[in-house]
Amino acid sequence: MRLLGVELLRLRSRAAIVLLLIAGLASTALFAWAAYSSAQPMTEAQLEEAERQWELAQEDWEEHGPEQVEQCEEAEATESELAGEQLDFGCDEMAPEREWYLWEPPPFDEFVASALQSGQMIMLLVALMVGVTFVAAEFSSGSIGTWLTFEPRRLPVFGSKVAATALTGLGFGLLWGALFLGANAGGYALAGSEVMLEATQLHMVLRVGATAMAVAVAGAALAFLVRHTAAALGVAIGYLIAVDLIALTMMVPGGQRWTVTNNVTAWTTGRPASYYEEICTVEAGGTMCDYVERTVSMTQGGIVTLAVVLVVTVLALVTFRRRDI
Amino acid sequence: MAEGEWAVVTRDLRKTYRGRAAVDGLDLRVPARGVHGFLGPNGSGKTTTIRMLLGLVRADSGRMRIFGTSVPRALPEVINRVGAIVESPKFFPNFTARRNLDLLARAIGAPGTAVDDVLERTALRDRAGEAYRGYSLGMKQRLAIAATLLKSPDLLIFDEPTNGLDPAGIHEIRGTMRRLADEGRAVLVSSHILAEVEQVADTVSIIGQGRLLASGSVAEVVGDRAGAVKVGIADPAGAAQVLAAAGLSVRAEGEMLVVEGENDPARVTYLLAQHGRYVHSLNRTRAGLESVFLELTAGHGLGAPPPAAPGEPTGGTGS
Repeated sequence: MRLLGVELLRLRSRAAIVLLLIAGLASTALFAWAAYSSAQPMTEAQLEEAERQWELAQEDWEEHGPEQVEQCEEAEATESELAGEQLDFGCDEMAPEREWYLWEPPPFDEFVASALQSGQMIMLLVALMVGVTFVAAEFSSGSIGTWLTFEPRRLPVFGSKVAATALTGLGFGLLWGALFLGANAGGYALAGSEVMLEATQLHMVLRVGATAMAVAVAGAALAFLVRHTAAALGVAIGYLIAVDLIALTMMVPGGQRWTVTNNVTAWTTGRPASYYEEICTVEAGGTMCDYVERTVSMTQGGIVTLAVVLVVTVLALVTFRRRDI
Repeated sequence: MAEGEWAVVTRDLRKTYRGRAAVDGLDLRVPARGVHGFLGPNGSGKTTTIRMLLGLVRADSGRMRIFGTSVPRALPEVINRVGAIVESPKFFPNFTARRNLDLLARAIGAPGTAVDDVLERTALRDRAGEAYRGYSLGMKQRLAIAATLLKSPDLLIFDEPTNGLDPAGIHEIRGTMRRLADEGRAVLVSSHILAEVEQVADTVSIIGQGRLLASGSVAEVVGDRAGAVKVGIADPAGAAQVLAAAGLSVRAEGEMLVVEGENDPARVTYLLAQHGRYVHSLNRTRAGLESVFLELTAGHGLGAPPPAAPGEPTGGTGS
């Protein structure tokens, strides 16, 4: 515990880390503006214009609707014959409906989940950099050597640094999640839209905290492995590009199921992360390809994220225990 | 002396980097009191040996003990008796001196007054609030010494402590080492600057290519090695011919002649007087560590006797 206390003090004393955390937390204010903009109901003028467009669409449908339905049904029959099965072109759902022209803000919980999917990048980047810079600075300044002449047991040294990083990541993540939720709720409320805070959103904040903790630990572990801030960030970004984006997305069939991006997103948002997979079948008429939507579940996302962090951390521990300083 | 009575004992210590032996069967003994000079040219294995003692580098084979405790296995048991500065002082550049020391003090559970105490002892108290990165090299070295003193160590290890220091800084570090040794501690100081160590060391070990070449007190190591006689004479060229004809090794040094390997000035004056040549100045210089070191590391010392076994005096090559 004494070492952990020292590491937490060291972490708090690092101006770069404190600034990074403040900047990360301040970034949540941006989401208030995004939520406010998205939650704005239609103005009177917009409503008037929407009603006018709806009336025009109705008139057009009355005039050309039956003809369009006929053409649709003909095409449906032709294609069904070619395919050898009954296809549904949705010809009976072509009539315009009023709600198509009247926009309403999405429900609050849906909007938050969707905003988190893009907004989490800031949180993840800050958590990663906190972990990386905290440990890498010790190697680049050489102070790890001095430290080991005071505490030569490498397991407690490693454990205390990782634990301090984890606690900081957790605290940052929870605070970031709460501020993010508050900013979105504030934006929605200011725009006059309904804000429904539910248990699922509290769970989301807890998951954001856990994710930030895991990513901060992964960052610290990477720094133990490569001993330099730029190199550790390079490895993390390089992995995302080479493995996530190129190998698993473009080269390995079904590989997107295992990308860090999809798994972390599924876990953090608490919703299935979807991706599209190209499925090709060879038939008499040639090869038919189609994009099929697949999803990564929240549970899988959590397990894969945890597994990745554990592997990197164990590798880092083994390396640090054996390496000459 | 039993092994526990030495500050440091290594036996057949070896470390190889990419097939090159950095430390090659080193047997080192550092007395539990006094300044021990750990001498060797650059790349001779001094820093690697120190790093192995401190658990920073893994030895390939061999045994190491600090105050009788086997290291690195039981290093945590003895680490609080050891203060070390390996190569240059290394602290967090953006932290103040006080914060750097405070973190180290907390790690070992040192009392709250320890930081102020060591800052006072190293004359850094007034500038303890400044960031380490702004410190001069001399102040950095003093801060590193302050850090080692947080533990009240019985053994202090200084690795090339005067590198980059100005003469005043070197003098100060030398004084500090002497003072610490006089307080009853063992001070192991590695250096390749022999004259500097000679002034402060009680005992020395000289290594080359990772092996011990000589060990013992400075007097023992230097022993009765021949020095030189410096001669001032009216006709140096003629005098040189006379001395050379008598089988002496002579070289010119400005207006003077240096008769190397000769400890007896009377023999020089006698030879010259026989040929009607009289000196106007005469100086005898004793062999120093530097000349012994150069002699040993030139390859002649590889057959030097090993250090004494425990219980025996530490015999130098020269003794």
